[in-house]
Amino acid sequence: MITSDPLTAVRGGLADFQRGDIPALLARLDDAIVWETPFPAGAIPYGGTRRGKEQVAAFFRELDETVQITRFDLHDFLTADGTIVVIGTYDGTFRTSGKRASADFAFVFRVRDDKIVAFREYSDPTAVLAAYGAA
Amino acid sequence: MTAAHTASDALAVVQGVLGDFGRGDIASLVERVDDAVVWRTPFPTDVLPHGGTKHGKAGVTEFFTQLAQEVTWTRFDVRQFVAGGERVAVIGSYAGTSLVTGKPYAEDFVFVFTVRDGKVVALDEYTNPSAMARAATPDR
Repeated sequence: MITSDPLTAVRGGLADFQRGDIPALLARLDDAIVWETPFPAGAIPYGGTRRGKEQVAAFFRELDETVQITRFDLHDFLTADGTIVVIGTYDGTFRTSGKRASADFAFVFRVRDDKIVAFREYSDPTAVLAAYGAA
Repeated sequence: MTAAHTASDALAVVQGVLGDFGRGDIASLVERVDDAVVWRTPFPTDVLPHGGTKHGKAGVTEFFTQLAQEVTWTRFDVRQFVAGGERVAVIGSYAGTSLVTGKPYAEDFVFVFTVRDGKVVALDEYTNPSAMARAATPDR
């Protein structure tokens, strides 16, 4: 019997991201992954809801092309029934404008059979969109 | 006290807060927060005065007084509680109507409550404030 550990999948995925190892992160996602952020499609290159690994791979390419993440701090992990809530803060410098932005976030991951099936970022996108130059 | 005990105590406090809010019993809600509570939401105070950071019981009372002047709720759904140690995340969605403009809004949220010694010492709301701010802004 396979025992599922949702927290391991999420901690592993975040560590992959912090190391810049996006292929390892993608390997932790379910094929039917739904990836949502508060950034509207069209307002910023990595905006809009992504479905499936190819679209999530594109999200990380677009994110990297748009912003240099200068801080990615994780403050707490909460877990219940395959849902993981991660509370943290990120800072970034936007490559085109040179402007910096910071946001506090709650990431909500849904994990099934050791694969991440859904990701949603809850945060105020105002500062990021202003620094990118969308506002 | 075990960590599991602490988490269930924190959950009971947060469920009490949401129950009070649902009944409109703000006096009871305020009794559940610490004197030094920090209550943070992302709403821009120029159009939504209840937003920003409020401190203490007086600040939380002001938050709910201002909120009741700004909006009326048409839906307030709690989907899931995710508790760990002294923190409880509440995942849900709400919808309402601006009392200033009559325009509707809807958004999903995560509230993160921090509970110590049976009292709420912090509330952080993680949400996109844009929908509510747009609803509160008169059309030009």
